[in-house]
This record gives sequence, C-alpha cells and structure tokens, in this order.
Amino acid sequence: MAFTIRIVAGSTAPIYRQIVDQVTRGVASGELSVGESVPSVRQLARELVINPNTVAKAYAELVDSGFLETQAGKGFFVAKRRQVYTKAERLRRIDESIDQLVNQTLVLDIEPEEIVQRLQDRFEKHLKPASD
Amino acid sequence: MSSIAISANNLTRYFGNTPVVRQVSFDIPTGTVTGLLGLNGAGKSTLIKMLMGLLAPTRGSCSVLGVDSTLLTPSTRARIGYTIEGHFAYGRMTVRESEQFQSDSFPNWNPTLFQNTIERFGIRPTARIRTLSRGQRAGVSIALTLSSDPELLILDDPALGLDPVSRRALNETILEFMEGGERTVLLSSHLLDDIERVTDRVLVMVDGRILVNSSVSAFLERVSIWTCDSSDEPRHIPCVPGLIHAYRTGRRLALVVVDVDRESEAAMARIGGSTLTRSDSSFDESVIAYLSRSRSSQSFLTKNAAATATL
Amino acid sequence: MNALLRKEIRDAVRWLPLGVVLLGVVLTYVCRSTDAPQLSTQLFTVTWFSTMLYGLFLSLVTFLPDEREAARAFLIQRGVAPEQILRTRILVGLAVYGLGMFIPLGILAAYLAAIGPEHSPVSSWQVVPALAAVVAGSIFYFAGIVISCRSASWFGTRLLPLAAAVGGSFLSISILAGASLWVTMPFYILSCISSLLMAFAARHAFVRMPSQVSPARFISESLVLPFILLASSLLVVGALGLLPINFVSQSTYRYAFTEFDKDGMPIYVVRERGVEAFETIPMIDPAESPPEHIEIAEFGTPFMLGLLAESLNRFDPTRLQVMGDRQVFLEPSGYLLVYRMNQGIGLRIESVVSADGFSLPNEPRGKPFQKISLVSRISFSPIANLNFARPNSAPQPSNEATDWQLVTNEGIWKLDLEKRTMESVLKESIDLFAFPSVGGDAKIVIQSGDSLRVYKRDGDESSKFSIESSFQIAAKAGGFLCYRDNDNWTYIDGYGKQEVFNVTRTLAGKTHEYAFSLPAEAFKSLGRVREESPFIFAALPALLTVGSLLLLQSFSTFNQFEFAPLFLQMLASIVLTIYATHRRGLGMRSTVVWCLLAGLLGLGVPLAVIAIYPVVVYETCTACTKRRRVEHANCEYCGAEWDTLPTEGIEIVESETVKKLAAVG
Repeated sequence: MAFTIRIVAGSTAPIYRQIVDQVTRGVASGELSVGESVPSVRQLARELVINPNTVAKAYAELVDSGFLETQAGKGFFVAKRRQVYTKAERLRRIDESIDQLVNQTLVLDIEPEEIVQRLQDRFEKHLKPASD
Repeated sequence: MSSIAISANNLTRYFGNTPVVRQVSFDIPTGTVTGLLGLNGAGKSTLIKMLMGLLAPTRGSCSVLGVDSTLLTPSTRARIGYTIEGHFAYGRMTVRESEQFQSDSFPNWNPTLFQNTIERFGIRPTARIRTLSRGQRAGVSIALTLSSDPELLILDDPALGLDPVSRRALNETILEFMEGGERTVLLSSHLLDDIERVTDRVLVMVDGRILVNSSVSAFLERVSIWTCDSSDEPRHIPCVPGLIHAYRTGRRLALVVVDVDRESEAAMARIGGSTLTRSDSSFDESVIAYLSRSRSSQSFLTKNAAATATL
Repeated sequence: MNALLRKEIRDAVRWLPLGVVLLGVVLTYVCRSTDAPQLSTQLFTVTWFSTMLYGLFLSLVTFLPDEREAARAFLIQRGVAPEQILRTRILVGLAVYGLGMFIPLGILAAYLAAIGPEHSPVSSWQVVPALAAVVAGSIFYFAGIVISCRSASWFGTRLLPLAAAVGGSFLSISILAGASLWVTMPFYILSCISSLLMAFAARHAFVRMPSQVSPARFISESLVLPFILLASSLLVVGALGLLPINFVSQSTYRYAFTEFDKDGMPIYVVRERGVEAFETIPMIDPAESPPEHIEIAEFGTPFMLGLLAESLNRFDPTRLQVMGDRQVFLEPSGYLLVYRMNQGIGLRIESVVSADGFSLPNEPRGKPFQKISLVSRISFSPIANLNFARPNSAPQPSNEATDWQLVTNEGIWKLDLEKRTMESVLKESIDLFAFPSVGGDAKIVIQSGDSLRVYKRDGDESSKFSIESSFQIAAKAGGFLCYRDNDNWTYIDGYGKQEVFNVTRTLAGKTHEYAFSLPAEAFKSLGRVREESPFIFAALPALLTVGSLLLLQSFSTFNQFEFAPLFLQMLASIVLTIYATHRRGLGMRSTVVWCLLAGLLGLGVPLAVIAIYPVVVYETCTACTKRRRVEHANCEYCGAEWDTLPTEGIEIVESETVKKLAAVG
C-alpha cells in the first residue's frame, strides 16, 4: 500500500480531522481504491504515535460519511462510495461551495473566464469520472 | 472496576496566606489519558501531590482509585505509578539495584517491561544513577514507574530534559501502556504537541483554577481565533463574550474566543469591522490563550511590543 | 535480605567508623588524664556528650535527605507502609549507634580489666555508668528523627525537642549517685522511658499521614509530641531563667557553724564567704532558764563526731590516704588496696586489706569492710568527703607507714603497712566517732546507736584504749560533744543549718535537755537561696517551687514580697498564653486548659503552644464579614459555605464519554 497518512501536531486542524481529510482525499484521488484495507485503529495509532481514540474517532466519522466500512473480524476497508445525501442535498452543498468561490472572484477581481478554465483543469487532473 | 479513576471535589490548598489550588473539582474516567496543563506555579504539582496523598488539602477532598488520598494504604499505592517531577532516584544505587529496591515494594513487578524500557531509552543496567544524564535518569524513572504494572499512572512533567528521540520513546511507551487493560494516565507537561497526540482529555489550570476540563477534540472545536485591523490596545478592548485572550501581531489584533455566537461576532465586528477574519485555532494556540490569562504571565517583550505598535 | 534493609544498612554502616573513632579518641584521652577515683564520672560525662553528638548526627544524616519533597514522595509512594520503612531504618540506625558506642567502651573495659587492680585500682566495672549513658542516649537518635521530620514555623521550635532529649538523658546521671538502688534506678528508668516517648514522637513525625496533619485534627492524634514540646519549652525557659544566677554576686554567701562561747553556751557563728568577719548569734532557749555558768576551758576541746565513709559511688575507688610512696584506696567492693610507687616501673599493688587482715594481691581475700575511715595518730581528719583528698594535702605524720589507725564500723585497728599487720585496738560497733578537735589522740569518742562512749588511751605509746565514760543521748547523725568528765558534758545534735537543736547538758550529774533555735531573721539571712530566689521564682514553674516548699514545710519562711516574682511570672505566662492560643486559633476550651497549665508551669507554656500548633490562616467571610479559618468548610460564625469562584465566562467543561470502536486487529 503506497498510501501513507501523516499528521502534524500543532496544526489548526485537529489530528482526527487531518486523518479524515487525508483518507477522504485519498479516496477521491484514487490513491485508495475501493476494497483496499486501511490500517487498524491500533496499527495506525502506533504508526503515528497518537492516541488510538483519535484514530477511532476519525474512522467513525469516515464510516458515517461512507468512505470506510468495517467487516467483522477483518478490519477497515475503503467502501464503495454510496451517496448518503439526496441529489438535492448534494446540489445544495455544491451550491454553497460555488457561492464561496464566486465571492472570492469578486474580492480578488479575476475574470470569470479564467476561473472556469482553472476549474476545468482541476477536474481533469484530480477527479476521475464519478461512479453513482 | 470503578469508572472514575481520579476524583477531586472543591480541592483547595493554601501555602501561607495564598491559595495555590482553588476549589478544583473534576473526575477523570478510567481508561483515559488526561493532560494537565498550566504555567509553572499554576498549582499543577501541588494538585498532583494532594492526589498522591503527599500533601493534605486545606479544604475539600480528592480520591484515587476510589480511595481518599489522605488515607492511601500501601495496597492501593501498589496499584499506582507516580513519576516524580525531576525524576528522583537514589544516586548511589545502580539501575539494577533501583529495580530491586522498587520490585520489592510492588507485588506485580514486570521485569521484562523494565528491561525493555531501559533498552528503549538506551541505559545500561549496571550504571550508577548519579552518573546518568538527565534524560537517562528520566528513562530510569519512567521504567521504574511503569514496571510495577499500575492501574493508574500519574506523570509529573516526565519529558523534562528528554531529547526528541527519548520524547518519542516516552510517547510510544505511554500509548503502549494504555493498550493493556483498563488503565488511566494523568500527564502533566509543557510539551503541547505531545499532549495533543497522546491525550484524550485535557485539564488546563490557571492561577489555581481549572478553566478547561474537556476532550481534546471538543476543546479544539469550540475555540476559534478572530483577527482584525485595529489599533486598540489588548487591555482596552470592550467586552466580547467568550473572549479568552487578546494580543497584537504586528498591525493586526487577534482575539481568541470560545463558543462564538451572534453576540460575540457582533461585538468583534464593532472593533474590527470588515477586516474581521475567522480562523481555526490550533491546540497550542488555544492552550496558550488560556494560560496567558494568568496574572503572573508577563511576556518580557510586552513593553517593547506595545511601544513599537504605537509608532 | 530485602532491598530496603540492604539500602538502610549501606546508608548507615558507613558512619560506624566515625562513631568508633570519635568515642575511641575521647575515651583514650580521658583514660590517660583522669585519676582512678574520678574515672567513672568522667567516662560518663564524655560518653554522654558523645551520644548526644553521634546519636543526633546519625539520625539527621539518614533522615534529613529523605525530607526533601521528591525524596519523600519516592519513599512513600510504594506498596510498603511507612511504618515498616521506619522500623527497618531505626533497627539499623540503633544497631550502628550501639556498635559505635559500645565497641570503644568494650575495648576500654577489657583494657581496664587488664591493667587493674595490679597497676591501678581500676576495674571494668567503672565503664558501667558510661554504658548506661549510651542506652539513655538513644533518645538523641530519636530526637534527631523528630527534628528532621517535623514541620515547624521557625528554626527555634524545630530544634526544641533537643531540650527534652538533653533533660531526659541527663536523668541517667543518677546511676553515679552513691544512694541506694531503690533511689537511683527509678530515675534511670525514667530516663529510658523518656527515650521511649521520644521514639513514639519520632514515629508520628515520620509517618505523618496527611489526614493526621490537617490542623483541625492535629492535637488528638498523638499527645506524645506535644508533651515532649511542652517539656522542652519548660526546660529551655527554666535554663535561660536560671542562667543569671551564675552572675549574681557570690560574696554574700553566709553559712553557720555551731560552737560554744566562753560561757559554755552553744552559739551560732555565722561567717560570710570571702570575708573574715563573723557574727555570733546566741541560741534562744524557750525555757528561758539561764544555764549555770561553766567555763568552757574546763571541758577541753570539743569533739565533732563524723560519719564513717562509704565509697562515694559504687563504681570508683576512693583514695583514702597518701603516705609517702604508698597510696591507699578503698574499693567499692569494700577492700583496701595498698599501692606502692616503684622506681622505674611505676605504681604497683602491694597488699589487700580486708576485715580479716592483710593479704597479697593474688591470694584469696577475706571479708570486705562495710564502712571505713583512715586516720593518722597526729593529724585528725575524719574526712566525710574522701574524694577530695589529694596526695600530699595532709601534713606528714612521723612514721608514714605505721602510725595509722583504721576505724571501721566494727572497731579500730592499728595498721602497719610495712609489716603488713593489723592489730586490734578496740573492738566494738561504731556508727560515728571523733578524736579531739585539736591535736592529740589521747581520747576517742564513739557513738553507736543511742550510746556515746569516751575512751582513754592506756599511756602515750600504747595502742590500747579503755573506756572512761558512757552516756545516753537521743541519737542523731553527728553532733558536738564537749566533755569534761562523766558528770559534766554537753552534747548538741547536728551542725549547720537546722532551725532547732537539741542540747543535752549534764552538770554535776544533773541532766537538762534544751531545744535551741536560731532566731528567724538570722536564719533567713543564711545561705544563697535568698539572693537567688527572685530568679528561681521567675524561671521555674510555680508547681515546682511552691510544691517543693510545701513539701519541705519551708513555705512560711518566705514573706509575701519574695513571692512577687512568682506572681508576676504566673501573670505573664497566662497573658502570653492567651496571646499564643489566639494566634493559633484555638477554641475557648483549649485556651482555658492551656491557661491553667500556664499558671502552674510558667513561661514555657506559651512557647509550647506556639511550637505545638500550626499557624492558622484566615480570610474574611463574604456573608458575615468576620475572619474565618480557611480549613473549615463552614464559617465559624454564620455557617456560610465558601463562595463558588466567579466564572470567567470562558470555561470549557465537558464530560464526553469516550467512544471506542471495537478495535479489531
């Protein structure tokens, strides 16, 4: 498994959130494929030298939001992405992010065309075609 | 086994006319690692000494493993491991002799654990304690404490004087310790990064009072930093609900606030207007904000900083 | 052997050589520079000092390091009770103390046994008082523990138990007294008991569970330490208060003799020390019948009857006489040892004299003497306190070795040290005896029980006496006899500072008995007690001074002005005690008890209160604005609890139960 999680103490992000973010990004970028196993709570805690409850909390949230699933006796695995939210809800969340982005373009005074171009670049580079 | 490992109830201690620990109350659940944070002189060591039955409270009470601290029996003490501030050990003894001295007093001695811990810290068993470096003596102290296989571990500034490698070894050792059964750790330290890694809960002590008694994640989520452009002196800021501490960084004024609500946002907006920006607070920034409230905390740079700010 | 014991042994044993060397050096010096008759006293004294130094040192050096916070925490936080740690340490400490003190003394005893009695009248028996001092000196070891482990508000009160240790161990000096065992042993036992008490206090000081130290419950847990502190305070105050007596002018020491005036009347002669002048005070005869006039010269010189000597203590020999190159000692066992100074070799024992006669040193001895006195023919001196005889202090008799008479409680013998003979001069039981006060030994007076007998020598060179007169008197221990003949004699019982003297006077066969007394004012002016009384009354507990006066029935000899310092002291003690109890926050009942003690025991009591009770801290009650103690949960006046501290608005208190996933694998 080439995927490694690194955490930084003293960051503005709590440690558990760093784990959540890294796993989430890993799944989104494809570094973590569906069905791949992730370290157990204890293993990851030992590796990172942190409290296992922190790992447990991160994994609990990942399970809740559908990124990980647990199989009895076998540990944690990357879950098949299933949408927890309805399409309307998902669109609402995207709209929130879009509103923030639009605000920024106004503040920073960049041409919308340039923003769109950059968006397309990002999509091509990072996001694989999403499966439903 | 009881669900509360350490309990304090209105614990108060005076030295002379001054209260050093003031009406401290908390419960530490079994199976957790709790960090005790505070400035030097905030009362942390006094609190720990009262928990360990070495000092009588002026008022109030405390108990460990369900037993009142002033009535600790040898059999209860055998279940507690205590690393003393400064890592005391008898200088004339060798490491091996210290182990024998300790193992005689604790029925559940684990020689393998002692050996492993000593090796992990790179200490020879035949060395005389007074010839060891500070960090090595700390290692011996920690090994002596852990190898009695205690249910409750109280560590008073265990990382003092440890080099970074030994500090990591200490963290690993503590976490390994927690893996075995229903154990509890109370850890007093200034190393905020290590605290953030290792602990479940945190107690912040300021001028003898406990101001924070919370899980680490909840603590982080409730504290935020708001910065704005303002020429106000930190001392002269009008009241903002939930303001922990305010300080200047260059041209900006930083306000560390807990549980921000509409009211506090509005109060801050009155100070900073549109320049007001929110950011998450890191663990050490949040802790330092609380510790800065101490009446005894004075940055020796403060005067200079204030002078340059008005230029 | 467990690790704790090993550690304690290693910590303590390294100080053993110090004790052995310290006491060894001191004993060697004493041995070389002290005379046999003073040996056991000197040995006792230096040993007593050594036990003080060594016992204290040993406990301080093993207990003080563990009183540092970190060290104490390390020692207490373990599955072994503090009492057990203490027991192990004391066991080892006392063993080292004992060995350190007993080894040099043992060696000394062996040395004394080796050199005596052949070279010197010493015996290993003389080491016994020093051994007793070592046992009693264990109190210093325990005192060192109390001093190390006790928290005290200032340096002075921390050292206070030392005073009790000094006092308690000093009681063991009673073992040196010549009195009977029934009198000396209770004091010695008291000394050992005080050591035991100090051990209890040491245990309490070391163990001091936090629950016992909280001020509210302090006094009830252990009374031993407060008792010791009180005793110490009294001793310190008493010693300091009596100190000025040393500097009081001594020129006014007045003492009285009984003598006869030119009319044959018994009178007091009061002499003032350092001053030649004296005054005579006639005795007062209540019967008021003037005695018949008799010239004193007709009586001849008075005989002052003196006791036979016993050994002053039961350990040392007594030097009876020095005669040229011979010295005669009385051994405590009741034998006379005759030593001779030999050219080049030094002092060697020559003969042993027992009630059965002379014997050589190696031969079996006869029966021992019980009471004895050695007088020469020419110079009379029934020395009551024989230890003060110094070589060459008496005038030289004509023939040093042959003109000695040995007076024992069974009779009088003539001694010839050269020929080693003992010739019986007079065989009868003797309690007291006297030769004439001035020169000559033509007559001798012997008192045994109620009967006085006057003997006359049969001719100048004879060594035989025959009885001249005998009469009955009311028996007293020692008195004055003025004797002319069977029909004319006067006997006064006692001499010195009695108030009343009984006189038996026989003139021309008619006996008259008087009681004479010294005028009260004159009596009051005697001695040193009067000058010293203000200091004694001021420094010592009222219980002690008034109590002993009442016991001795001398209470009325003091007038009310002399009691003034006592009243002042009682008043000052009570006032200071009230101040002290107030400072220490004691309640009404305790204050009353302490004030009572202050009246009885004096100025040491307020010091004890300050030492015993810890300092009390007050704050102002927010409900009733009175000063309330910080240890109490409720205000003493209004019962209010303590205010909860105001919230600062930024507290975070969460009791979130930690969720733990079933960590699998």
